[in-house]
Amino acid sequence: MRIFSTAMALAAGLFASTAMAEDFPSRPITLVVPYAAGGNVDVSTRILQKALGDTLGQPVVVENRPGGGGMIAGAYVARSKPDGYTLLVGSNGPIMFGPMTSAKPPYKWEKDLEPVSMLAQATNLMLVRADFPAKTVKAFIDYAKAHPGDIRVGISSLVSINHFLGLLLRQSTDSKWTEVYYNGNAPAVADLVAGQIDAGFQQMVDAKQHIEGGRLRALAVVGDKRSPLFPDVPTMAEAGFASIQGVTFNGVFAPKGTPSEIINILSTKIQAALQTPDAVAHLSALGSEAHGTTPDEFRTFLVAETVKWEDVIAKSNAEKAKK
Amino acid sequence: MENLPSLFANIGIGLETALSPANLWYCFVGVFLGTFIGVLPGIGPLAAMSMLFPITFYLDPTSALIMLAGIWYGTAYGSSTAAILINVPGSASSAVTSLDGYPLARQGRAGVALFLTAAASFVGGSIGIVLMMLFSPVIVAYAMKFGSAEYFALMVLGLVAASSISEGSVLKSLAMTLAGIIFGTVGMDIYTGSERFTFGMLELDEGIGLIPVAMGLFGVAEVISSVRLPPLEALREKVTLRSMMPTRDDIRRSIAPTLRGTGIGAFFGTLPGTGPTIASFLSYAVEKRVAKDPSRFGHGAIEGIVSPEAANNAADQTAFIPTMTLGIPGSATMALMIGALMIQGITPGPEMMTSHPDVFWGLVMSFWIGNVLLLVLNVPLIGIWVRLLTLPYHLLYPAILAFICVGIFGVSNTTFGVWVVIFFGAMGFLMRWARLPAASLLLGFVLGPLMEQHFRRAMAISQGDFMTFVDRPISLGIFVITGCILAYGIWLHLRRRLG
Repeated sequence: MRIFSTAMALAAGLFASTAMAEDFPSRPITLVVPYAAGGNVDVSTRILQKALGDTLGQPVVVENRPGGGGMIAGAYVARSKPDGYTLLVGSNGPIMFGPMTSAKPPYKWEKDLEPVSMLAQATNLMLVRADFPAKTVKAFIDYAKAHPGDIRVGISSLVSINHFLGLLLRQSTDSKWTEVYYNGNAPAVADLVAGQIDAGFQQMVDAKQHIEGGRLRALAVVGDKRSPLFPDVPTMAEAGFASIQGVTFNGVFAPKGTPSEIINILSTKIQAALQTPDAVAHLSALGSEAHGTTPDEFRTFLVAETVKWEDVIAKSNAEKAKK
Repeated sequence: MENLPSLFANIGIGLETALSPANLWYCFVGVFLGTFIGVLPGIGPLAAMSMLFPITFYLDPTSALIMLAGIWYGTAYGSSTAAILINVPGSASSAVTSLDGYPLARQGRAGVALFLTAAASFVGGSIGIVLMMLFSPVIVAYAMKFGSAEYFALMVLGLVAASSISEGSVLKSLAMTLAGIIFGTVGMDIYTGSERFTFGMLELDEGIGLIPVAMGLFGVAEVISSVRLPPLEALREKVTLRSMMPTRDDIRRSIAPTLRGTGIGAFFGTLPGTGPTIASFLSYAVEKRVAKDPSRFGHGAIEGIVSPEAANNAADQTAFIPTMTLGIPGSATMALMIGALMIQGITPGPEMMTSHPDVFWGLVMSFWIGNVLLLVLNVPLIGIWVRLLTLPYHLLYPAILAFICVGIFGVSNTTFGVWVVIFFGAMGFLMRWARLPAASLLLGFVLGPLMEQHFRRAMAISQGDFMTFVDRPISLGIFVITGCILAYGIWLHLRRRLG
């Protein structure tokens, strides 16, 4: 009797999972945002939500679950039912840096999450205060060598892309400077504009208007091409520091074990939504570039980024252990 | 003042935008919602604005901004209502208003208290707007001179000046301030990433939220304490317009404190990262310092309600100065405001005033309309609010608890915040029983983390040189003032002792 009922349940389960992919989605889909409403990731998600509209045949709901540097939402989605109805919009922090640096990571994207599609990419810039003597990255490094420890580099927030880009530059040039930590981009930009600190990495969106207004100077663009907004600012490679690469990204993830048919349905629709002129325009207003990808492209990107940053973090840990 | 003609032109553009029927409507919706959200404990402006944020996608950018802003400053009007009537502040920035507002209500003067706070809010808000219209660039240039050394000095001044806000034992209030500072250290250290008092809970990584702490200490604790108390008999009478009218003496007592509160609020509003809560605590402390008879405070002093309310409204308005003129948000709510603009392709900053004058000036002029609407809305509502008190407590209090929980759950979608409220509610109840001042704890909780952050940042920037606090003139000036306040306090104390 028991065997029979188990077999029935198994069969029903199998039937359900194939049926699930066929008529997916049959109820609303939730996009979990790891930050409070109004931030960059939240706004990007809402642009995606609007662009998806009813192309999935079901409404898309945005749910904010802030806290824990984004890892509360990450852990929540990683532990959700892998049915494609609960998705994470993850960015550098909750996907890579948080779990990489935490002593007991609540999840790892490689093991617990399934990449669906990238959503957007943003450009980072290396900035100095308007009256800082160095006009190029090279001059900046020379200055740092000549005055070890004197340059004050603002770190927008611990374990963020802006933090690690600075770390990467310092490690690869073997320079010394003072790191000043902040709890967000806004106060770090404010202190840089006011000249309380000398330099820092920031996303285009936070720096754009201050560069235009002459309150900050961009030394280089982190990326493989110059920004159309500031065609005079060289890329890191052009400035002679090709190894300084890093992308601010966010993208959609499903819990590990989500059937690949469902992942493909979601990825195709998301890629199409991100090509609509409205989505492209709205994301570019945020300083980002709409960037839908196939699950495989996204995974390849993530693997490469993960390897690079794990190396930077290992070096930094070794440095700290030496002290 | 050479810009006067262009100012008039700008006001014209602004009025034209703000007075369009759609924008008038969104302004009304914003301030109306703001008032109610302010009255309801637990649902703060941030929660309400986040819930409405998605709607702004479908609005014109100016309308979106006008509505969100209306919620933000409307809350400051409403939040004193519950603080005065039932000792449950609608938001953290009104916690201090309950210290004297609630005793006033107990004396049967709730109507007067509500009327005067509405008036003080209007004055504070209006002066804040005038400052924003005339002096934004100057104020921003000045605010930018405040580096971490100055912030640290200011936070020390705040702690010293406000050490007197509580009644009774100095030792008890000192102990509570320290307890507040310790609760403020919870979370991941932003410098080293080490976990402090998080007990492995991810939810505590970013620290304990201000709203759960304030709502627990003041709201839940009040509900628990009142269960055993008989309802207020004095308030059962009908509220007439006459009973709301302040006496000549009340008005005379309110004028200077309202202006002082406005000044303090306007100042803190312009400094990113501080804001209305610190402003209201400090203005209360200042009133108590300058009063001829400080012992009246805590027993229904009019000065103790008008000054903090003028301060938090002024701070709410001037908080827009760094946000709109520099594009640097001072708080999570201001970041939301910037988000609403960005999504529409507008970047706030000095360039916005020239590239989108209709947005900037439309918003500023909508502040006037909003403040007038709030005054018109709030005065007739006073009668209704006061009558709310005639509701039996067994209906009123469960409703309050429900609102607190819903508001806190709504921001994070997790029950963790609700547990934090319960924890601080129980603690607040025990503290009342032991006569330990909750206001001191809240103050330590707000100022402590800011002090630590700015101290360490100032030391990093100066590369470990303590002289930075003395070398920088503004910082030195603030420390001198702090020293004077301390010396004055000691002198007063000695004089009382000796003779």
